Parts: sequence; C-alpha cells; structure tokens
Amino acid sequence: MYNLLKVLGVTEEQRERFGATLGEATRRLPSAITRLAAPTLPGTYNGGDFIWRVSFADRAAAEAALASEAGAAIRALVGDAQAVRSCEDAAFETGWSGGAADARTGLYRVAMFCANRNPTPERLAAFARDTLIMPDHARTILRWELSQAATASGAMPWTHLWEQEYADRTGLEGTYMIHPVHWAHVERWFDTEYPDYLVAPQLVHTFCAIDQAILNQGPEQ
Amino acid sequence: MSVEQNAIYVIDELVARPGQGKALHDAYMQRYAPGARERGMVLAHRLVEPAMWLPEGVNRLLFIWTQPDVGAVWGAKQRARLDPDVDRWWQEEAPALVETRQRYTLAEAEALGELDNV
Repeated sequence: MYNLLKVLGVTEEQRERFGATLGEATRRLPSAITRLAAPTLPGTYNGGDFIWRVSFADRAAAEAALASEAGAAIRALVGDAQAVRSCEDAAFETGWSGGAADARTGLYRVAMFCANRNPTPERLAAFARDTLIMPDHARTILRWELSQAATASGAMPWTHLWEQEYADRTGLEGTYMIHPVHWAHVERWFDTEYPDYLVAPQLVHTFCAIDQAILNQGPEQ
Repeated sequence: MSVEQNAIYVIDELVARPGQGKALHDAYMQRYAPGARERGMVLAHRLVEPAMWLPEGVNRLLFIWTQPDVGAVWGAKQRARLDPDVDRWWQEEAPALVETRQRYTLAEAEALGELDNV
C-alpha cells in the first residue's frame, strides 16, 4: 500500500467550505483503497484542523489519482494560501502493520515524527522494535501501522508515521497514555532528558473520528 | 496498595569526569534540581559511589527522584520539554562534568501488575 497523508491547518472562516470540498473531491479520487478526510478533534498537538489520508495499491496509482480531475481539485485546495495555514505532509509505503482488519473502529490517530538525533541504522531499528511492541501491551490499539516517509514536508522533515485506530478516544487518552510500555519504555526515544533520545521534540499528534477501518487493509479488502 | 508502592521513580545515573564528582553533584543540585522540583519531582536520595569524593578518580552519582503517579510523570515530561533551561543543562552545562550518564524510569516490582492493568 502507498499512502498519502496531509495534516492541514485551515483558517476558521474557510474551514466549513474547505472540509466540504476536500471530502467531496476525496470521494471522487480514482483507485483509492481507503479514504479519509475528516476534521480533527480537540486535544491534538500540532494537529491541524483536518486529516487527509488516502491509500493506493502502489505509488503509480497514487500519482495517477493526483493527476486526475479530483486530484487536481485537492491539490488546488491544499495549495490555497488564503485558506491553508499549515500542511504537514508525507507519502509512504506501509511499513509494519497489524491488528484485526475488521474490528469496529471509532478513532484514527497519527503521530508524525522526525527521528533526526544520531539516527544510525541500529538506533532506528531499536526504536522500531520498541514501538512495535506497544500494541501487544496497550490493548486498546485495534489496528496500527508504523511506516517511514518516502517524501515529507512541513514543520519538520518527517521520517516516521505511527498510526493507530481505537474504538474511541479513551483507548488513546487512557490505556495508550498510561500503560508503562509508553511512558517507561518507548519514551526513552522521545524524552530529551534521556541521553539516547532520537526523535525531535516537535512532532504531530492528531486524531479524528472515523466510521470505517483504514489501517491494515490490504488491496483485496 | 500504598502510595509508596504506586510511586514512579526516575533515576539519573551520572559518571563524573575524573576529579569532578563533587563539582557535578553541586552543579546538578544548583542548576537542575530546583527546576525538577518545580515540575513536581521529589528528590529522595543522592547517592555517591564510592562513598567519598575522589579528587583523582571517578565518582558515580545516583539521583533518585519520585513521582506519585503516571499523571505526574507526563506532567513533568511536558514541562521539561518546553523549558530551555533543561535542555541547556543536559546539552551544554552537564557535559563538561559528565563522562557518561543514563536515565531510568522504574516502579516497585509489586506495582507492575497494577500498572499493566490499564
């Protein structure tokens, strides 16, 4: 799967029109396997006002979709400097993924990271290993994907996308945050007071309501 | 379960550069500890190994902090992340006195079952 992700900050006066246009154009995007264009919920961090995420079988399909009439409408909308005040952007092949494909969903969350402090292959591998055990312990994670950006832009040159789905936001703000696998283990890569921290403090943590699973969905589904 | 059993511990293990053990201890207490206390951390122990300052050798220092619960841990982390003085201490001031260091986040063994059950 090849995924396109944008976390968009939009001026308040343009938000309603922007959301409607983005949703309509996204529905018309050809060949997309999953589609998400939704307003973010309160409580994000650098989380923008809209999350846009679409998945394709491969990069060629994604590029063809962006070249379509609907893709051109989305590009024009996102490029409207009068409406869009921030755009955190990444394109990426799905990396690791897991979770029950058909479990009832309710919340999508994505974190965009820039692992730029001494990012040796060994340290990046250890970071991935530690992150990948989180769903085994924070059991409210229904589905997840951990991927590395092929291209990225925005406030930081994003390197990693850590995405999860939950039944509801208590799964994210409760179990995910208070389980020790997070604050006592994986946090060593994020907490700048740890000598081995890897990830820049500036990150994106954003989430939105969804009613259809979008992670760990193969092209055949 | 008692409050003590639920407490979260943060340990800074600092190996001082040769002859710098006392200077490192004093700098940590003057430049780092006050801010950590403001972030809600309680300094329970300051342990020195060996149990004497070595003017010509290497001292290992253990600063053992406690926090009452997970919410306090996140709160202190978030405040530290936004505080340039914390970054200045670890990145600019401490390296002159520190050979190596580690940080650990720990809990009592008896508390692990409860911490996992969330």
